[in-house]
Amino acid sequence: MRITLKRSGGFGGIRTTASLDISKLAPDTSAEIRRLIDGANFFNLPKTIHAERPQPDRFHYELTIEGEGQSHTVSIGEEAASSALKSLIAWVQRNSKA
Amino acid sequence: MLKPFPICQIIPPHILNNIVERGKKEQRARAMQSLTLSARIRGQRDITSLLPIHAVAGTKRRTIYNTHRSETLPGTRVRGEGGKPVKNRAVNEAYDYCGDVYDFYKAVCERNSVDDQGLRLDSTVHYGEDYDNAFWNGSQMVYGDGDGEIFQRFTKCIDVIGHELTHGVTQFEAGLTYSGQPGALNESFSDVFGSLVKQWKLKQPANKADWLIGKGLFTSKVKGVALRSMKDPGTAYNDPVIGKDPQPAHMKDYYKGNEDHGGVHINSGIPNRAFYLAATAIGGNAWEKTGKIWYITLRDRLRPTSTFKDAANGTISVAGQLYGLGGIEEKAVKNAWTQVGV
Repeated sequence: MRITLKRSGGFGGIRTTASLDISKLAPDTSAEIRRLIDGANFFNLPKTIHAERPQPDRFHYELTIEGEGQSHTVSIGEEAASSALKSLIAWVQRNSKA
Repeated sequence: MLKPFPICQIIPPHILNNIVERGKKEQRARAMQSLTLSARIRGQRDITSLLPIHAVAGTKRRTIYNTHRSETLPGTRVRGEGGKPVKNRAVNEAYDYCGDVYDFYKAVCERNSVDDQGLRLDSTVHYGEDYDNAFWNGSQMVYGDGDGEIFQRFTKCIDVIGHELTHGVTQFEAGLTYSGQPGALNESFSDVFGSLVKQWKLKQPANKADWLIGKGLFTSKVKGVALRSMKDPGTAYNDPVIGKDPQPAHMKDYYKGNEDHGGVHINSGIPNRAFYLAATAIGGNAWEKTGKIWYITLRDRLRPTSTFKDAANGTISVAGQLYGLGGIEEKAVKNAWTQVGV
């Protein structure tokens, strides 16, 4: 299962892409990310999660998770994300940096 | 019966709390009454960004908060108007530069704060963990510390603070929708006035300014001079980690993708360059004539759905009205938009 996180916007407008393969992670780490995906109810989220009035200079994310017979992409405005979804995004950013 | 605040229920509770703590006797009583009222409409807080918050006294009133790396706004109050400098550098930068931006709008645009009615200027520093960003949330400014790898703290640059506060001005004036061309104009006006505040502070005429946005924000590890160049969009950075500055300088390279609300931080390069071209053609201090043309257009001519073409027509028309039909100012503005393909 692969996770891809594209970030755009923010004051700087710098576009970045982070990607990682869950099947290649250590069992503990893999279990952690699967808990976060379930916690955010990711595969049942709508395709777009945006604020009605977007806040200027907030980040914009496009999160895709695919594999094991499933594939889903969600377009997310930072200010509209739930805390569970924020945790998932933060985890992907942290773990794809190293 | 106490006279309530004009639109008492939309004053954010943290402001009311401060009035309760530190206001005059009658202000305190009114704030208490408003706090009770606002409890009834909890959950409708988004309307605070749509309505003007009336000031108790229409002057410069800055308050700086610290979230200590959390994301719960506004955080702890750490410095108020007239308060002495503190040991925290980000707090003092946010306070000082916010004051410069207020002074710029007052002196150059004859505007009293973000809403022209003396709105209190609230800023939060140390937002989030290694947060690589700054934003305007509809009622206050928010600054991250940067991750130390790519970005340094966002309070470091006066133009960043001018940019964020101008998002507030735009919200109360043209109300440009944050998507597509109106969104790119919204971004461009923030860059224009962010840069003008810096030029005004440094007393730089148009031909001496660097026309860069966010110079000094990158760490020394990044190959780049700034985040954006109004003079040469697309040339501010070219780095192995963060890539190349994606801004177009002409309509032929307009970004049509979905990221960043349709490229609001990308396509802003086009109107940014139009401003630079107009300002350097008109000459002198950019904030005097060209800044005035852009400010009046933002205030009186544009609407939420305005496009680049509308901004071009607006600025050309305002230039003619202010400085004479067929004058060099009108011609310079018209040429500027033509050169960027609008």
